[in-house]
Amino acid sequence: MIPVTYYLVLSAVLFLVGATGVLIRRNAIIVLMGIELMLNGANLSFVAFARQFGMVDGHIYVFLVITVAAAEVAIGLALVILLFRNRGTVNIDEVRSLRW
Amino acid sequence: MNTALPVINLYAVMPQIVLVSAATVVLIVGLFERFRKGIPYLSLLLLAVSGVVAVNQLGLGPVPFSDVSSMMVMDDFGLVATLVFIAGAVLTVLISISYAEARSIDRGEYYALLIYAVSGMSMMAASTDLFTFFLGLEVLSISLYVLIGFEQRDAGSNEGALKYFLLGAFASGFILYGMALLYGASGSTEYEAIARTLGGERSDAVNLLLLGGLGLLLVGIGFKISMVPFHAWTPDVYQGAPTPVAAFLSTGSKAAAFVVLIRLLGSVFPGLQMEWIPLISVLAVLTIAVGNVVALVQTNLKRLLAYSSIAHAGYMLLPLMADSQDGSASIVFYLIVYTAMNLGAFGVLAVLSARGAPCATLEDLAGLGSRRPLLAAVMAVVMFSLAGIPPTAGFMAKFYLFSALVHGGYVELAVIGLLFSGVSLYYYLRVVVWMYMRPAAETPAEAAGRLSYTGMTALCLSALAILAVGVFPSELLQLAERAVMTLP
Amino acid sequence: MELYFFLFFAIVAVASSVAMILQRNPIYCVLLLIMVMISIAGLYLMLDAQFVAIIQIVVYAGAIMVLFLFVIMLLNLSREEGGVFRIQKPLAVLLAALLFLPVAAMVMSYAGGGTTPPADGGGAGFGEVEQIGTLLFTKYLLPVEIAAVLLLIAIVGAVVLTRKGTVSVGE
Repeated sequence: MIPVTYYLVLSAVLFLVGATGVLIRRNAIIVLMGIELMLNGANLSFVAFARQFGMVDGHIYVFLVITVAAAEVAIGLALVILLFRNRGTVNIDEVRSLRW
Repeated sequence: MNTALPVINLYAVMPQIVLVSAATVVLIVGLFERFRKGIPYLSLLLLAVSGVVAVNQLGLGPVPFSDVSSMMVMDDFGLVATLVFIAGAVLTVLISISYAEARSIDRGEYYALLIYAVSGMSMMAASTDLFTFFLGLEVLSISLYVLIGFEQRDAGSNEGALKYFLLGAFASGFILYGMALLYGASGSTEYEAIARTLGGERSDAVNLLLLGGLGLLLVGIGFKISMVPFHAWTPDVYQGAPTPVAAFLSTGSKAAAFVVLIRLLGSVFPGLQMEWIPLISVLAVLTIAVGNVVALVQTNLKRLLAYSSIAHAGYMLLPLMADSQDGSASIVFYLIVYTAMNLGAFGVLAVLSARGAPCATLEDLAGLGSRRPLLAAVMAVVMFSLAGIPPTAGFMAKFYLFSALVHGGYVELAVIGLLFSGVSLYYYLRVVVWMYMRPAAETPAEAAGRLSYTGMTALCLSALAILAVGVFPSELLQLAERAVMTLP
Repeated sequence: MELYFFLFFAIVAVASSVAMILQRNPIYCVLLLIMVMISIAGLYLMLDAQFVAIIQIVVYAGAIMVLFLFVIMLLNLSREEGGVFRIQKPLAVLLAALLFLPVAAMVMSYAGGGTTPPADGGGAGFGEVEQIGTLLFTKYLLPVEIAAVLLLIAIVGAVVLTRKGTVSVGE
């Protein structure tokens, strides 16, 4: 059996790659994909810990997180479409109020 | 296969059930065009019903949800918080009516999402498990993303919504990863289990997981309460959002995050005090400083109120350090007063912007004292209260907050807080000066004609409440103390 | 043998995720993220989480990512105009590196805690639908109900936001 630590390191790497993506990309859709990557990193730790404890609770968290992710993506993409209709761009730097 | 179904106690989630059903009813009735004018009043009625349900449950003692798990517990703390959220929503609906009509966003979904957001806040306040907290937060956030972007054709509104969405989802990612680490440390996401792990013997590895988890949670919650350095979104989002939604955002969602913070830091993480107290005190002071100093140079009113709300979040962080019932009670008291004050301030802007050009800058307020004496009086009361001048509620709130801090032995922090609230006098009083001492422009921005009755009712109610609490604070203080008594 | 599988999935996941955040073409980004999702599903299988693995592929890779693809196609964003990255890129990378250090230290130190899980897992049926279903309707009944409300809000919100014009039904 692979030590759980390996999975945890992998999940931390995925989380941080996702966070970096959020910080460096200008395209709102890809920023959203970076956030999805972060959620996946967290999910992987939940499942790894669940395996270690021998309790399926962690799987249920993942199941619900996927639900939350679906809801967030639906709203996020709706907002992106709206922005595209109003501004003709999905690049967040070209939008005045989106400098941060 | 036989599975014993759990014995469920619906009383544990009654306020949330009533709120969710109320929102759904509003949503369905909103589909019929002929009821369009009545929707806000229906929402008010249903909010009042849920308020009554919550009041009825006060003092029943903590009721766990079912016999196999206690993901949510309805104690007095959760109920009082729920009542504050409901009161905030009632005021928001009142100031929304004319604003929403003027911008033709007065659809059933608007009011339904507002009530869904309240149910989400209530879930957060009653949660005793990180996972229900997370789901409640998402219910709240997703409703808010849509509400902020509700003015579809207004570019500012949907830019603000997208900005709040991207940062909010980013913050949720941090909260979730923090939860994963805490789950790894304690084998459960229940507050009690985490507190037990903290109380017992713990290895270095578990300790690190707990610390990392707490840190990531604080980053995520810091975004929601716009704590420095995670505050940058606040002014832009408040400016872009429809004004009543900005009012709701600056009070309700912030209050909900604070309620969770009181529960988490007060009863789950006291074992890590050595680590979080220095961190939070530095961040709180920074938040107060940045909020107050940047507010000095703002001329746009919504941005000014945004920086002022950042500063107030900083004040409310301070008593967490005191770690006493007094401290928590003073935060609850401050939250209640803050809700009334900020809704009043944004409400004045919403009522003024309902007709004609939006009331945006200090210049638009010039001469308001002679044009609209009642409205100007309300704004003056609210500004005095935000600045903390007696005999308003804002003064009492600051008084309890700083005295709890001094009792907890944090005199320096209290002094810093007081100094910066002295600085804040300048920008709050500047608003009053503009209203009463500057002549009006040739053509005032807002159109002539009567202001909305409902909006004025809400504003007068909040101004009266501010004055009443400022003179007779003891009743409200008792309520706040009673609420925190039920915390473990 | 198991270690090779782990390394294979881990390398595919990390490589595709790094490529994703550096890739200019949004469609390739989506496909790379689907690669990440599928390799994570493989890791879930190695952790005896069959149900979650299937959900990951069917819902995450199959539905959510297709939604992304759909929106990108709809808006015709096959290439990105102008510069791809923001000005604060070096700053962001630095920040991410700073974040990485404590997390890595924390996770590494966890290695001392005897973390090789028991080989037999949680006993028979661990991670299978039956066990998860039972828990969902007993211990986790409340979160499931909240998730239902959440989905309703998301549906209403998406419709409200993207509906063209503000003319209501019946007008």
